[in-house]
Amino acid sequence: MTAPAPALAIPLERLTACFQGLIPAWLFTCAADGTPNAAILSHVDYVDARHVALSFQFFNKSKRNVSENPQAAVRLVDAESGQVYQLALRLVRTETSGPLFESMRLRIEAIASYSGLKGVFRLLGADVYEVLSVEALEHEPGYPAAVRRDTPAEPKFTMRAMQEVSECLRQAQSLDALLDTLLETIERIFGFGHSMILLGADEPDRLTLVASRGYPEGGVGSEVGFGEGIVGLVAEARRPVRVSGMLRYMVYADAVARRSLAMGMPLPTSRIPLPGLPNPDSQLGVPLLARDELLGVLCIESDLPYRFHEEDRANLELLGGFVALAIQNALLLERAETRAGEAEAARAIAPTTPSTPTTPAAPIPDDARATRRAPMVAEFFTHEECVLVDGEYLVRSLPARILWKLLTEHEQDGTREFTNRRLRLDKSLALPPVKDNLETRLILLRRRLAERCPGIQMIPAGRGRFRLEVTAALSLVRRP
Amino acid sequence: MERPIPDELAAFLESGLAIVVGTRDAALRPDGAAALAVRVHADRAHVTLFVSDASAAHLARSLAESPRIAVVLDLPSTHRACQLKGTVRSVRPAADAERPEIDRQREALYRDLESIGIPSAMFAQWRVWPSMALEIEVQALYEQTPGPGAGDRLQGVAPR
Repeated sequence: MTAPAPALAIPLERLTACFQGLIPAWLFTCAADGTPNAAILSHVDYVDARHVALSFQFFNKSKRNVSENPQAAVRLVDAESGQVYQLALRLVRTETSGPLFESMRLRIEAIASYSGLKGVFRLLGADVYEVLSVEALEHEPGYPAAVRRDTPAEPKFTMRAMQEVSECLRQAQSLDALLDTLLETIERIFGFGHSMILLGADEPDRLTLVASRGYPEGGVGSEVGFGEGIVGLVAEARRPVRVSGMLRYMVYADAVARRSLAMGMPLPTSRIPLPGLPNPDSQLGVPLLARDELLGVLCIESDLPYRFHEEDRANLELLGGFVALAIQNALLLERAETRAGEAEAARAIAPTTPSTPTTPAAPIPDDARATRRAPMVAEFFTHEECVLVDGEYLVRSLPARILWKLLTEHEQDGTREFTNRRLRLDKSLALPPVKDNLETRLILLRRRLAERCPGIQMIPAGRGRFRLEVTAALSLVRRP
Repeated sequence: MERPIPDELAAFLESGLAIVVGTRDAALRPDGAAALAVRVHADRAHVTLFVSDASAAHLARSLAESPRIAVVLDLPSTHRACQLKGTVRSVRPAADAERPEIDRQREALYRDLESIGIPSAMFAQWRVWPSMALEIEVQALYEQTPGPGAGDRLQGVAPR
């Protein structure tokens, strides 16, 4: 029986700020033939009171050395105090699956994907080391002065704050309002001013941005594939992902890129770029899961280097669960009420058919304002299923089919009032038979128009109803 | 050394880089410290490595048991990096006449760090002087830019 290892002179828990990844760590190893080696490290992860994990991404000299001689030393800088620590380590195992591996893999792939390096820059294993000793190096004062300026905010996800968020969500009258309320509340209560919500797109394995806050370009309608960037990774893994020290990783990843094959990732022109900070240094994304269904992803970011704590991740994940249920409930409620409301309306205004315009055909007030705006040309590209207004990409897929439907009806007989129900029953829109996403597509379309096309607006007119306002002379062109 | 340090690489090494050295004791336990600057000798087979006296005292623990040393030199803004393997032949206090070169290399490093958003104020407390000079005989040179090629032996040509 072996005696329990003596306690570390400095507990690893005191080194939390060293594990944020803000300042590069250094790894020292030694080959069996006695040749020492030093290498820069992308990250050191805390595992437990006696263990840390290092990412193993390439079969490099350090990796060969520790397989011959498991002794190593790592040098870490506490980004808050500037204190430099040296840890004596012994390799105990390499994990290639499990929660530790997954959490390291997701962080690394978020960077890889951000830099177009997916596949090249990936985690092969999590090398778990026993920590034999921790020494504070007094002779290397490190980098204190400026780093202190960015000391992390205190975790803000208190129970009270969570109750406040949940109260705000409860009061939201519609899904549309819920989305804005949520992002507003996250900023007001937690101080996270850059955030976005993406929900399921028309194709499986894609998400579309439906609401964002804190970006000059709202980016409504921009899409992300599963596995792309932090949002796509969260969706793919259905787990939260937190990245700190992005800038440093990006520099590191760029170096890898230059050393690797040139991997061009041209973006099709009919894509709206995801909004984002020019140099995000911290990102935190959580899945919106309700009844085991992935509805979307909530992502917050900051240009401060290590803005989000590990606790923030856990708490935002919890919040993601509330939000997902709230979104799902709002969707179910809107669909149910739309149907009920429509049924009543149908009884009251008999005889009417779903395709009958609910307003007179004569073009009225909106056209009075039309002269104030320059004439516009809207084009529908049938094959690509996308709408361009004045040559600029606006929407694609289902939102594009809906918009085209609205615009052609408006042109043909001046229809301005529309209901969700009528759109839902319209075969020409080819909605999927179940979970048709119509409500979220309409939210997306309305917000996209508000952002990019002031001449065409969708004005909510009660639950399940909206009015189309065209305030410019508009010509419609259908392309093959 | 079979292949001397090429001119272009010598210029890169002296351009003001982040430098870290690795050593080990008799039991092959690794150790290390940060270094300040490097000068490549005219014979292209020896370098002088400058470390603060405190770092030198830290390294003395392992250097007393083995003179073998690894020196990693990294340009933070691009992570272009290489590693020298060598043997420490002697350790002496750095001369006053060497100080301007140490300061020049540090200044260049701080400017590079500023270019990637790390303010030089971060290094205000970094103790540079007094320094010790480690005279090193270089045995090998390796590519250390992170990525698939890291660890390749440099064939007497400049790394990409």
